[in-house]
Amino acid sequence: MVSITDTLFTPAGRQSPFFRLFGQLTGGWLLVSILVAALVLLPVLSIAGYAMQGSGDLWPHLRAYVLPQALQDTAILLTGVGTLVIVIGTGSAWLVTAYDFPGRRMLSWALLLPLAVPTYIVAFPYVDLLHPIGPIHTGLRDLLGYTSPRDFRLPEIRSMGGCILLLGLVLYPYVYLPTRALFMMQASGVLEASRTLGASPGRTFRRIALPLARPAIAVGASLALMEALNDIGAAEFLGVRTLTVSIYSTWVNRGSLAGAAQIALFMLAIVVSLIALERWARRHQRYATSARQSRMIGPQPLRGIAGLSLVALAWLPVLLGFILPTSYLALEAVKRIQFAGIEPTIIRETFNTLSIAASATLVTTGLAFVLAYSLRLSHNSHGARALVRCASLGYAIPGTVLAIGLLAPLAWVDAGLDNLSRQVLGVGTGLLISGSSAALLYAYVVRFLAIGSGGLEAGLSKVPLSLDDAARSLGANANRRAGRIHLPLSRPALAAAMLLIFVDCMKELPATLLLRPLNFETLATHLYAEAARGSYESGAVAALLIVVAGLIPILLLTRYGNQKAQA
Amino acid sequence: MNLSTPPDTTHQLRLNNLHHRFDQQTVLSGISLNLEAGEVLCLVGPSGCGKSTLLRLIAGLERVQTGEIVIDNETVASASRHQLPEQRDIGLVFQDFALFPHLSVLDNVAFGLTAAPRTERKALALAMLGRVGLAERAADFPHQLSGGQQQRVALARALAPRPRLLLLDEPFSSLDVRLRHRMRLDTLHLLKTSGIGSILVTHDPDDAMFMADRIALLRDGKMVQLGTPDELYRHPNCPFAAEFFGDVNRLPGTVEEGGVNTPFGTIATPQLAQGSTVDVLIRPEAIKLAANGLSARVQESRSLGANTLLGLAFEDTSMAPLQAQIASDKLPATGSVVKLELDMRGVFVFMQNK
Repeated sequence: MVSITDTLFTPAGRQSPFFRLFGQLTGGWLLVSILVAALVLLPVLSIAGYAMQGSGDLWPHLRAYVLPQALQDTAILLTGVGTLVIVIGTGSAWLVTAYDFPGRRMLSWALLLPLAVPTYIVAFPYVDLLHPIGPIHTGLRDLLGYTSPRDFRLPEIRSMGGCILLLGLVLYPYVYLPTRALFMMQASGVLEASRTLGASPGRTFRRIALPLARPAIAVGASLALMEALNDIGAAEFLGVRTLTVSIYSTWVNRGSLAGAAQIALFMLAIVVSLIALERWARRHQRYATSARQSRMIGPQPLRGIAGLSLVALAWLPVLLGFILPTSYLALEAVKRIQFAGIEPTIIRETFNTLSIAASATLVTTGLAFVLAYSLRLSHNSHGARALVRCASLGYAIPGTVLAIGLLAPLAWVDAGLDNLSRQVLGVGTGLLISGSSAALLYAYVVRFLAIGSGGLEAGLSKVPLSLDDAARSLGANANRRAGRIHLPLSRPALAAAMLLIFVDCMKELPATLLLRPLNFETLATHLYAEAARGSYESGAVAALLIVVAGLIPILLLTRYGNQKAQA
Repeated sequence: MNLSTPPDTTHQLRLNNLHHRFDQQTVLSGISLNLEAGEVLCLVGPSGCGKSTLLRLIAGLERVQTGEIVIDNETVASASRHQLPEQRDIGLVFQDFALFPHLSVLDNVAFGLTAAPRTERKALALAMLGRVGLAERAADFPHQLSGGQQQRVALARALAPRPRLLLLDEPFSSLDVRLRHRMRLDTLHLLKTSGIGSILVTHDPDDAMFMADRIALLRDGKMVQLGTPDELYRHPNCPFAAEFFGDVNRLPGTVEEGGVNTPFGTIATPQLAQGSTVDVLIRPEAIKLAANGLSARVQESRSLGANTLLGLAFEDTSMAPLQAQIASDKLPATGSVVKLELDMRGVFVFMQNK
């Protein structure tokens, strides 16, 4: 029987370049993989294209007034946030692994809680709380004996410093999590050796632990910085004009897509350098996860006043990054509901949020499976790996950049469809895609594909290759194997990925603001609108719902993490 | 062991001059062999000799670089052609069994029965399970079965679609010794009654001797010898072949006037050149106790059950001690002097390695 792969060999018998690149990946799987990678690349290419077109009259203005300020602000913000997350993340990770004190285990997972608070939510509780005649100021004045707001004021939170502080407080878990894992697992033996050789914990930390933790810190910090770049709520609200804010206002207020695209290009450059920096910092990492049982390093007991103050210091990020904002939201939400009941708008917005998140999750997970399975079919060939890596780039593209990158091509497609249908059916279709939630779906898929494909790749790797071979010998082709073997066996990984993608879709703001259809509000956009109006208490219910949703993955993370430690 | 080749059937499997390289390393070199329908062929050799690669090439899990694989007179694989494994109709049994953990035993066996109408699949699978004696475990899942039972399910699953060829990759290596002996017998019986050609890969010479109609001995990708177990045991063509299937005693010597002098006498070696240095390999069971012959003292005596290994030392101290294997009912006392003679069927003379 002649098979399709007969064509992959040249008559001379040497393997064609196609085969060398893609292995046994053929047919539908290859096509979809290429398509997905192309879909992810499209926004980037469109931005480049649009930017090169030039924004005409706007460019000199941008170059003189907007860009330098935005670049400077962004640079300062990133440096500040980067330093803060590294300090808080690494310090707290070291504290909970190297020392023992009452409540250590609880602190260990409590330090993850700020992950549930998106950046655009953390700002307004503090603005409200730190109002000159708000609770914190009045309390402090009573304590210190002042009577008038003019006599004493804390530094203004609506500033660059405030923005750096608040972003650092909710983004440090990105560094904390991998660094803690590294201290607990891989580095344990080395750290113990250092201690037995007489080095004090401080010296061990500086000379051994910190250098060893560099790859984890690099990964965590770059993720945190990408989130900071992505943020639009906090920066705008606190009066910091970052690049993201500039892109948004250039498009919304000035209506210049090309101008926004030009700024977006700068952001992409920063993102690329972040990724490069992360790779460089990880350059000597050897993935030597030993198969032996990991030993927890013997924690040293913490004593005395110094010890106590250290522990108190460690609880501060949890207090400031989660407990305070969430309590504020809960109180305000309760007040609001008691006052006005549950508004129907909230219900509609919740429905919108859930439905778009659900559909995006299904599509993203499906495509992620295709990518992960294609990788397996081709036995990890270079071509397939390149495709998967390409398709996973979406996570690094900030939401506003993504939205700008999609507006132009989608409008073009819409215009084409409209023309076509006018000619063929005599009736126009209008803004079929960009007017519907399809554009938003597209953006979510691009942005969160990496979560899906990463998780599924890990899940599929647990299925032994001999099962593939056995199924092939029993006559099952690629589709049958996928449906009857790989899909059922990767169910836990699938479920985990779907959950993470769902929650991230619910929390998404920047892209949603720009791409949503008319009159389509999600919980996040509602929040943003209320904050912009100054009536942020009205958004408290929505904010609380988002934070509660964000807690679910953390809960699962801690439970799964515990199981792993016990195993 | 019965080996007769039906005189008028064409070879079921033909391998022509297969070469294979992974990166810069040659894994197979000039492998050619035939397999007849109903024959059991064992591929043996030390780890890394290429036998698993050969199996994967036949199954279609690797692509042929040079050479040909012909099944039932149809070229299924060559440098310019590659039939997918799904279409080759070849059964595979893996070292780790590769049972689908999320499917029941019955569903596992029925997995390959897509050619049969849906209504008959369960019945066919059940019948196959019955042949391996596991019909009552049909609803269980693989993790609930013991190693031996899993192996039987793997066999049943491979045989259910009635393949034209069966390939087994170290099927017994994950079983303990007692179980392995029982499984060998059952598996051989099953293979013979199904009447299809099978190739069994193993690193264990005992498995090969027991199960094979013919044995192909591989080393570093090359075929060292191909023949019946009897041929390989009694007529090895090189020291490696001789040593692979049993321990041997090694006596160095030099050819003088058409023969080699040994303490047991002169062994005629007419084909070897005068003055060549040779090794005389003597199987332990070829050293027999006799009324007259070479004197030796029994240094130690270790019972292996039915047989006993004797360590024999000689007066001429330049001669190293030899190992002899005799039936345990004729046990001489340790320290006693015995007389030895050679059974020439267990003596081989080879040129020393260049």
